[in-house]
Amino acid sequence: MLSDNQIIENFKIHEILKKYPKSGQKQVVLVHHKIYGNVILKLVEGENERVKREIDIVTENDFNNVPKVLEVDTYNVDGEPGIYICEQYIDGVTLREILQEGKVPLEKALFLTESILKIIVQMEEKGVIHRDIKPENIIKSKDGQWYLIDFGIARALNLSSLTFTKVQIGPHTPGYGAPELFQYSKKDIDSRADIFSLGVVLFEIVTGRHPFIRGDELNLNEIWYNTVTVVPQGVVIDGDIDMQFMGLIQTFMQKHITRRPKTAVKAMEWYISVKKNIMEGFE
Amino acid sequence: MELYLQFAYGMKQIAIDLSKDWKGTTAILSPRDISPAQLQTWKSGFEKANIKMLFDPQCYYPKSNNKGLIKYDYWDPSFSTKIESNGSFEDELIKSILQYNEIAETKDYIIPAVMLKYDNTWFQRWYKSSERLVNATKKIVNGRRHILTLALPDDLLLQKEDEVEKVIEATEKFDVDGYYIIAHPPQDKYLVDVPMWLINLLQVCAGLKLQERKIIMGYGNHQLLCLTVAGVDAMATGTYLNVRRFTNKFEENDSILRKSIWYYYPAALSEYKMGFLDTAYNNGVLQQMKPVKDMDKGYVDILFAGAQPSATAFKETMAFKHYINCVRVQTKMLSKATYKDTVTANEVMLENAMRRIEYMEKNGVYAQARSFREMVDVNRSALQRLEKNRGFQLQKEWNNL
Repeated sequence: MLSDNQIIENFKIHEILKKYPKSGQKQVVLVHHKIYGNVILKLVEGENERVKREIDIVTENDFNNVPKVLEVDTYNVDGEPGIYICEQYIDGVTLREILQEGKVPLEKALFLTESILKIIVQMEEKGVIHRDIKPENIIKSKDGQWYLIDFGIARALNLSSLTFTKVQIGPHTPGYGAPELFQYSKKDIDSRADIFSLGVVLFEIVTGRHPFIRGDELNLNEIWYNTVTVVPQGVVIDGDIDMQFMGLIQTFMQKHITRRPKTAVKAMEWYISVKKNIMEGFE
Repeated sequence: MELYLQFAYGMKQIAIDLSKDWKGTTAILSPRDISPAQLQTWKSGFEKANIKMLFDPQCYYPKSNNKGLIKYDYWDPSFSTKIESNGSFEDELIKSILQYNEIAETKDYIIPAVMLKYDNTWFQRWYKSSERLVNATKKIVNGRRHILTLALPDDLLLQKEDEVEKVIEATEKFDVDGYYIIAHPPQDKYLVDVPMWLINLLQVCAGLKLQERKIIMGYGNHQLLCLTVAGVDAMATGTYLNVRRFTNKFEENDSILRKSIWYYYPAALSEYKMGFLDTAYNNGVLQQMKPVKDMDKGYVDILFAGAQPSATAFKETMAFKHYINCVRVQTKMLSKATYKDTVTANEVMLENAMRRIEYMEKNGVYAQARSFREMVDVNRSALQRLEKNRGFQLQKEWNNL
């Protein structure tokens, strides 16, 4: 792990503004860069195929509402080799932080749904699955736009899997990952896995509670068990005429992939129809 | 949902008559009941009556050696072993069945399937054999829609939903235009009183339909009118019970000796024997069992002309035509413009059936083994489960199904 001084001296940095918790071989800091201004600097020790994959996915696809990669290179600081990534900084708050303030009202939840679905649609076109959609990875910028960050475990369907074939469980965050990611068909996953995670996020923000995590789970197995067995009951949300939005969320969260929208494009179509019905109800 | 005719013994004239009355229909031909020579000679009669044909190769039980089936070139008693062996066998089978499709001038080619016995290897065996047959069909059959037979054993349909979902997921990978679904009922029951069986069948139909495939339900009866809520394209039914539900007991033609004539009372979704129609007559409720105008093609006029039913010349043929026609009208009545309306129409029909059954029973009129009483809740349960699992999808996709 590099020290603050090593970072400042070796990566054209004026100042380190914030340090994020270290995750595995990855060190992430918010810095004031001498050329780009405020950026996210990610430093990954050694050779890491998954990081290279993340860089390829983000740089090759140029998704809207996904932070841009500004610079990538290898480094060797005092004999410690690695890869660094300079990434656009989204000045805002995470959805997790927003959620700590309380539930998200319907109108705002609808806008969030649309924003994230647009990103999933773009990813679907390029054969990319994020696999880690959760409140921590969704940021609301100061100008009110929603961004999806952290493609660290994203999967490009045209590239081979980085998880060993014998490993049955694909990377995901328990509680947000779709059952197919940890159950049986790791190789057959598609954008329906991201739609599932979006459903969980939406349920959590409109009801104020996670559909599968109560907080008293003793281990991951319990969360996985809940994810495949608990059917979240519909909750009445203010303004949700005929519980259409709740119906959409529940459909996104279906355990079996064929019970979810077939594609992200289809999910977007259904969302638009739900939004129209709700808006007409307001008039 | 359309109603197709599931061909059976002695149905030629009934099919022609019904098609004339309906101004056209589709019949699923049964090689068990039509010889290759008859297929050739009957064709023009069917065409004149505006009957479109489908050819069901009926390879469900390869070792049955049914005396009708063995007359066909494609029939091979070792089919079951070969189907799991080499690739060229499938090519030959598909080619051979194609010639009969050409005679019948079908637009849809039904790809055969074996009704594989359910065990923990079922899924793999089913997937592999289906894949090989689909691949062979893609190579050989051009200019016809490819409809893969999905033969579902009763034990599979009685499993937990996850097992059935695996089948639905796997079908996403098959490059076919549709499915011809054959569902074996538990204990060969005509009306199934086990909710899980119907719940799973409805899930399969809806799951496949949501993949935008054509779905034809074979060997159906009025209990499967509920498939209208899954947007199923067609259900086939026929005269004798061996074509109104799938069975592995291939009855030989000359063994079909009917002991009773049953009259279908559509509002009660139940069938009654002559003896109980006499009771209805004596208790003054027979006229209430008369089909409503839309269902009345005159086939059963004789029953309601004022004489005691058992004293009339009411024949089995009339009962068959009446049943098939009523089910056809009911499929139309239940097929609504939206998913919600279709569900409501089904619920109303079930509610009404319960009331009519109870009313008739209060008047001493019992449908006995063909009463729908026990099935009302089974069907309600299946509708409810579909709503939970795929209701939203069906609601949104109804116009694209």
